[in-house]
Amino acid sequence: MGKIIVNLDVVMAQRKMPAGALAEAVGITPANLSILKNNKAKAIRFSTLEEICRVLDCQPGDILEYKE
Amino acid sequence: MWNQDKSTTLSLICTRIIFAAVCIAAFFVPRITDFFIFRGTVEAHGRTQVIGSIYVCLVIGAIVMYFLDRLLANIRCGEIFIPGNVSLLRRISWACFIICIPCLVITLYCKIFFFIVLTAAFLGLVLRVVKNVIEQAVAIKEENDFTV
Repeated sequence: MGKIIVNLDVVMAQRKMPAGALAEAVGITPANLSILKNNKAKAIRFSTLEEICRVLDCQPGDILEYKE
Repeated sequence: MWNQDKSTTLSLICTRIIFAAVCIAAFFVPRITDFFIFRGTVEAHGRTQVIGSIYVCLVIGAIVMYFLDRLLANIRCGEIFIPGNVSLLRRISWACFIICIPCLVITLYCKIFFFIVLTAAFLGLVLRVVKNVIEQAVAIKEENDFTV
């Protein structure tokens, strides 16, 4: 069974964006950002994804990846 | 003003009162059984089996009271939809089914006990359904907690 992997830390490293700054810019708590980064999230709201893409200037596909 | 916290406290107090009643009842089981034998409700030749079965029921009842106490303590702490509560409800449900066995033994000597068997089985079934509902609620809560 496949799984969605969140590559947020990779994109953050490429953009040299610290976790605290990203959480503040996106409008989520650092705890929730940590859940997302550590692949513990069960779901992500479109509004959160839109904000992350806007702040990091990337596409959803850069952050989310499907792996078998 | 009556509120949810007071309601939980009342349930907790009731549970502890019934637990104390179960402990006190244990001392009077032979005397109560003799009384019902005298009245003809219980058959005299089954005295030992009836007393033994009642003691088994009391032990299971005390265990159920302990589980209820823990469940109510969790609810008072605001921990409602947690796997621990699902486990407690499952145990209480099974205890209700298990209590049917000694009650069936008593039924051999006191026919009216069959209604207690039916009640215990029905209660076990209802608790099992409640457990299934809480189990689903725990899954939904977990998904909600991990939605960013």
